[in-house]
Order: sequence, then C-alpha cells, then structure tokens
Amino acid sequence: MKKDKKKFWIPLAAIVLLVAGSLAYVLTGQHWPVGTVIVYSINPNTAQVPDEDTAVRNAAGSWSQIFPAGLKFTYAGSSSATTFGRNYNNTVCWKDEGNNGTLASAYWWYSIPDNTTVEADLVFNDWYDWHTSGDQYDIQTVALHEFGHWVGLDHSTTGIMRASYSGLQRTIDADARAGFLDMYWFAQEESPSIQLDRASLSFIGSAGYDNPLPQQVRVRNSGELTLDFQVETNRPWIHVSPSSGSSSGQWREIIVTVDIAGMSIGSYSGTISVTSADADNSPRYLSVNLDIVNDKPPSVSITSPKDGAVLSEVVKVRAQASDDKGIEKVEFYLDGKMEITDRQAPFEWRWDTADFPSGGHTIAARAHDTIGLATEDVIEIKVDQPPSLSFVHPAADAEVSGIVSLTVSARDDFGVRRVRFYVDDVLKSTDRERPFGYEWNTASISNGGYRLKAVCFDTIEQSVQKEIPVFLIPHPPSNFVGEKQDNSSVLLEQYITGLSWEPNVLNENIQHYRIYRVEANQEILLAETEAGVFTCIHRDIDRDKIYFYTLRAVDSGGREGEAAFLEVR
Amino acid sequence: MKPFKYYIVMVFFVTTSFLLPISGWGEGRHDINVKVNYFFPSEHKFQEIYGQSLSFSGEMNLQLWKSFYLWLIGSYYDQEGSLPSTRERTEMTLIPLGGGVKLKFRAGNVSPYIGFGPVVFIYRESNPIGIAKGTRTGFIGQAGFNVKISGSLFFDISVNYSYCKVKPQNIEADIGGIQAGLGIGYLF
Repeated sequence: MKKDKKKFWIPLAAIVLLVAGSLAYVLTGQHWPVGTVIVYSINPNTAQVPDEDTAVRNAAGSWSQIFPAGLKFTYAGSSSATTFGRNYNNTVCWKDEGNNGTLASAYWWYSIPDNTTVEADLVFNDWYDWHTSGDQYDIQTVALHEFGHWVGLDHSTTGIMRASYSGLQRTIDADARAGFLDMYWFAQEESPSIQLDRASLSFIGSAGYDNPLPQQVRVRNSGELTLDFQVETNRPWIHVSPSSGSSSGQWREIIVTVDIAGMSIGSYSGTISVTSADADNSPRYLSVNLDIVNDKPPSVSITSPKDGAVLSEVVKVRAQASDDKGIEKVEFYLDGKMEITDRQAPFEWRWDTADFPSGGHTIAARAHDTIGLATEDVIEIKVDQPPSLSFVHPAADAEVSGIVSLTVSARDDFGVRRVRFYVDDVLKSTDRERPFGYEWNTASISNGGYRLKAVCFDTIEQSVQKEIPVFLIPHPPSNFVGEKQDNSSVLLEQYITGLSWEPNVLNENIQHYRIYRVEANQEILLAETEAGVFTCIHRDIDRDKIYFYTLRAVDSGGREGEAAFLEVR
Repeated sequence: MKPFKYYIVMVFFVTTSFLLPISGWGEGRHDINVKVNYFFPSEHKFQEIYGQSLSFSGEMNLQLWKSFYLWLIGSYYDQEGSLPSTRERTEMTLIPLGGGVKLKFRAGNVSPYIGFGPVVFIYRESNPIGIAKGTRTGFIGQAGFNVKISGSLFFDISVNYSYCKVKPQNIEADIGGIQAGLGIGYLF
C-alpha cells in the first residue's frame, strides 16, 4: 500500500551556496509519473499584484513547453487555498510569513517506495514585495524556480534552480532542462532512455582510515522497451557494482565506492558513465568528487538492540557516536534504506516493527561529523512478529451443547509453541501440537453463557489471545417417558400418548418445554408447556402406529436445548 | 341437577295433578306414579366413567281389560364423570320414553305387576373428545308391586331392565341397564 508523506520544503532564499563551480542539475529523488498533467489552481486574492496569476501560469507554461517531455502543467482556475496542505489539489497562493528570509516555498507529497509525487503546493511569502513588471521580486522567476522543485529538481549551482534569487530569469536554462528531461524524457520513437536519479556524488575520506561509506546512484529506463546499460568509471579509485544491468522502467541501484588506500590528502574528481547502445540519450555522466582530509572519522556503535537480537513490537534503536569535531547527525538505516536522521544525542530511533515482515533485517547507524566524515555500525537482527490466532470453531455467539470441539488457527513465522484454552478464564487445556484444539465436555455444567478463550504463544513467548462468547443450550430433560392409553368415553373413542418427564437439574432459567412429534426426520411441534408442567398428551393417535417424540427445554433467551428422544409403540 | 331436569319433573307432576280428581283408591282403574331409581348401567365402561347413580321416572298405567294395562313410562338420567386417562370432564344424558303392556294383579293391599314394551332412548354424551348424540329404539321390561298406603295412595317398588345398543361413531355400546326404583302413586 502506498502512503503519501509530506517530505520537505525547500526555501528559495534560505539556502546559501557553499560550492561554486560547474556542478550539473540535482534531483530531489521524487518525480511525477511520465505522462502526468499537473492540474493546478491559483488563489489570486491572496496577492495584491496585478496579473500575478498570469505570471504564475507563464512559469508553468515554460515547463510544459520543454520537448520531448512527458509532463505538462494545466491551469484549473482560481483556488481558495491560503496555505499548503495535503488535499489532492495542487495550489499556488500567497501568505505573509514574515521576514524569514524565504521568498517562497514548494511542498510536495510522494508515495513510498516508488517516490512518485502525488501532490504539490506553492506558497509565496507575502511579506515581500512582488512584481510582474520585472522589478525585484519577480513572480514569474520565483514561480519558475519553485515549479522546478515540483517537477523534481533540487537546488543547483547555476540557472533557475540556484538557491538564491539572482535577478530576473523567466526562461529555463539548459541545466534545468537537462535534469527535467532526465526525469520526463518522452521518447517519440520506441527506444530506451537512460535516467539517473542524481548528477553527482561527493565523498569525504579520512587519510589513514577506512574508505568512505559507499553511496548509491539509481538508473532506470525512462523510455520504451528495455534498457541494457553498462556502468564505467574513469578513475581507478572509483568502483561501481554492478557494472551493468537492465531496466524496463524500474530503478536499478548502483553502489559506488571509493578506495582511498594510498591516496594523499587533497581533492579528487572523476566520472561515472552510463552507456547503452540503444538509448537515445547515451551516454549519461555522473560526477564523483572525493576530498581526503586529515581528520579522524567519527566513531559510532549501536548500543541497543544487540546484534542477533529477536525483536517485535516497538524497538528503540540507540546509537552512541562521538567525534573530536562533533557529531553533525546520525542516520539510521533499515535494510539499506534511511529511516530517520537524529541530530541530537542521545541518538535513537523508535522503530515500530509492526509494518515489517518477520525475518532477518539489517540496521545501520551512520554517524556524520561536522566536516562530512561518516562511519557506520551495522547489526543483524531478526523480527519475529507476534503469532496470529483465530477461532475456527465454534463461531462467536454460537449455541453449543454436548462435547464442543474448540479449534483455533494459530500461526507464527517461527513456530507456535503452545495454545492454551480457557473457559470463563479457567485454564482447561494446553495443546502443543497441531491442530490446536480442545474437546470441551459440557455434560456436567449448567446451561447459559460462557467465554471461550485461546491464548497462543510463539517461540519467544509472545502471545496473542482471542475470546469468544458462546451459549450452552439447555440439557435434555430427564426421564422422558410415554405410553399409549385408551381415553375413550362410552360413545366416543380416543387413544392418546401420555408423555411425562422431569427437569434436568443442570438447567437454569428454563421457561418452556417444547414437545415435538418426529415424522420423516421432521420435528412437528406438538405442544409447548410452561416450565413447571412436566406432562403432555398427544391425542387422537393411531393405537397401532409407532410414534417418535423429542422434548427440548427452552431457556429465557428462547434458545432450545438438546433433545430427549422417545419411541412409543 | 340442571334446570332441564326440574322442568321434566315439573311437567310430569302438573300432568298427573290434572288426573288426580278423576277417581280414588279402590275405585279407579288407572294410576300414575313418580319414582327415584338407582341406575346400574349394563356397560362396564359406563359404570367406570359415570358410576352408579340416580335417575328419575314417571309412569302412567291405564286399564285396558281386566288385568291388562297400557303402560307409559318416561325417565331422565344425567350424570358427569371423568375420562379414563386424561380425567377430563364428560357428561351423559339419557331420556328413555316408552311404554307397553303391563299385567297387574290385585291381592289385598299389594298389587304385583310385570310389564314389557319398546322404548326410545334420546341420548347425548359430550366431552373434550367430542359430542355423540342421537335417538335409538330399544326395549324395556319391568317387574314390581304397589302397596296401598291409604285411600288412593300407594307405594310403588319396581325393577326395570332396558336395552338399547347405539353406535354413533366407532364405538357400539348398550346404554341401558337395570334400575331399581321406589315411588309413590295415585289411583284414579
């Protein structure tokens, strides 16, 4: 099941460029499905600028005109939105957020795990002065930038996706266009197309210590057919695995490692190329930057849980990290996927295992120091979900009698150790073998309501219990007897069967007795007597015929009990 | 006793009271009498259900020739009982109406007699099983004697035997029996 999640927002003016140079576009990792038409609406009433909606629409139109791309924008009219919010509508509005250094904010939500964007919003900070005439700040320029975030572009060092406002720019530069096409290339002919989820990788290594942690880049076919690709590097210290693969649209992960053994302190760069003979955009390049510094990397260890632990329910994963220059953050990974980033000690992650299948998993804690060096500690654990349990028989609220077979369906990924059976919280049986069940003999207990409970334990004593109410119907009345009798008067003939019985001492709350005549396996009601009457007459019988009778007690809930049987010859 | 019973007895006495002034004892050739009888049903089942009980009757004897008399008799019997198994209430009503020839002798103050004739039984039995009713002809025989009291009054002591087989539904039964009666009569 996919779930939408508010990921983050990227303030246009809040990020200060630290690295200058010719780095290419950067992708956020989320994108709309190729072929999507983004329908958006604008709330013009929140801005006091003439033609502000036209400026926004022009910006959206610029992205729609990129060819050949499988993503378009369509204006749906005005909106009443006054802020961002997850509501399945893509909206643009203005809101006074004060002098916080942020001109505008883009928000988007995407589904996990395929990172498909499902909604996006844009909020202009109305504290600033907005213009459509070209003066600072220009609505179309900022909208063009924020829509770049919508489509999946992260901040870049150049062009429209620069992090800070640098004057009027109402066209999409080549770098942003390349990134856009990387994600939304819509081949006009049937041919594969290479798409990378990022344009560069940066490593920082510590001289004399272990290699920097591996990073990954993802490759997929954004075109038609199947992409068969090869991955190569132009530097001996860059290693990729695997070095080839294929994709029909799925992302393929390429692990990139750098080997700094023997390398001295300094900065290095190289390139990873992804090539395909059939792709219409081959080759695609990924720049790799490596800085080797003279600093001890941070140390980190997972203190809880222990390596090899068997876990269930909610687990607190704790890591201890230290560094001479301070810990910037600790990232927690589960099976290679980052789950949470903790920037303050104690570093911990509250992991609810309920959504994860039983079995082996890898937990990693990756500590980053303040200069970008990283170290990780990895442990292997096993998730053992609690067992599952359900009653197979009887059903809840069932009317039972005699010997009742209690059977349950008990499952656990690593085995069920035992199932205990209770009647009204009194332990009756413990079963350690399948099929798990208990034969409940009700012959000597009073009729009425009972609670049946089963408790299932798995191999680590996790338990689950199920309880159902049942009704034990009345027992058959005692000493049910009868005989044929001549009830004729002087002139009128009549034979009868005189029936009599005694109450069953185990029965409680008996309201009636019902006497049935049984004929052709059908019970035909003969009479119903009050609780204190223990006789009944079947009139006008044939004295030469054999008669069969059943007698049932009826409790205050109208439940008929077990039958007492009688044959009268 | 039901009002119906009283009605029968009353009719009988009113009828005979019209005849009383006609003659006196020793002179009259005719007589009337009323009796209380003890009824022994012939059928065993009849006795089981209704037991032995009283009936009421009235008679008139009209001299035909010498010791031969025309004999008229009417009785009324009504009794409740219980069905044998269910002990439910059941009721039997018998009204035999008949007559015949009676031969009566005069021997001082005692006059023995014997009579025989047909009788029509009107019967009705009702209970939770149902109702059986109808009319059937049987016969009746009587033997007894009159004992003079004084004037025209006399005691009448008799024994009747009646027989009448009926079968209104499945069961055939004799609804007659023996009645031993004691009454008082009047000659006129």
